[in-house]
Amino acid sequence: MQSPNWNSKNLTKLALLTGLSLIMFLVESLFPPLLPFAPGAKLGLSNIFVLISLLMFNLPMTLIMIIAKCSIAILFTGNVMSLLYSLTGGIFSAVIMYGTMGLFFPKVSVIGISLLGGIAHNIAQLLVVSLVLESFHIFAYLPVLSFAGALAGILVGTVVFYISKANIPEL
Amino acid sequence: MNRLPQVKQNKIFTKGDFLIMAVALIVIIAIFIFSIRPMVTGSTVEIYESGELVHTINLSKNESYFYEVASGNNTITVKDGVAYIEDSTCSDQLCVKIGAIKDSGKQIICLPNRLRVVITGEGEIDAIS
Repeated sequence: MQSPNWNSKNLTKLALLTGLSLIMFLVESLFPPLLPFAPGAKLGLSNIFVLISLLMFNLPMTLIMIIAKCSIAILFTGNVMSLLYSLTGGIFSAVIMYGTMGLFFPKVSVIGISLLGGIAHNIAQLLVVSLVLESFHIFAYLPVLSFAGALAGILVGTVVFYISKANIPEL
Repeated sequence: MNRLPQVKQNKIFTKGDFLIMAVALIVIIAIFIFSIRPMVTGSTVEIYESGELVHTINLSKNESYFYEVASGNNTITVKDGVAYIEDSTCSDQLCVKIGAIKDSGKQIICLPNRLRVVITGEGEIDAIS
């Protein structure tokens, strides 16, 4: 893999993607809970732009974006503790998606990459939660959360595919 | 380095995607079947703070427990054979929204207050009515 181009053009694009993902985060926080038995589960629409950043740039630049996104997001939610969960989930899923992309990209489309990212996100968060509660019993939620994460990932991947079709200049 | 044009030329759904989906689905279903247990009404409500048992309530009793830690407090209520979190000072209120539980193995978690309420044991069926 090539080293990133840390020029101002790319950094400006990265900042724009971060802003767009924060907008999606705010819009999504207005939705009612999707699963009645798991009120915390959400689609993760802000990850559309994380995946675009991974496709356009590379892992270090995307990790900077995730850290910025999660830090600014706690200004909206007012919940500092959630930084722990969102950061670990975001970083782990980005690493998994980047690895999948590097190994299998044209053979596996963005949908497959995003599906694995969604599952990875939930597994990382379950791990943090079980460490906080000092109990691994919450892994009983693993199948349900993995399935929900996979569905959310498929949706995010589909959106990214159609964004790539939209011929947006400079993207 | 930009892979977006490649995404555009690629098919939306490839054989690789199908493979990943199939493997993920099989693994999820396998874990689910492995972890499945018949639904039985529990007998005891256990209240944990950071993995440490702090209180137990018999599910057939009507009782409330006031749970208090540095970050806030929760009121755990056992009434008519079900347990639920009646009140919480946490910001997201997920523990209150999730509602009542009664089956053995079910749990309610309040992450901001590091609280876990879990139902254990096997109760009598007529204990509820």
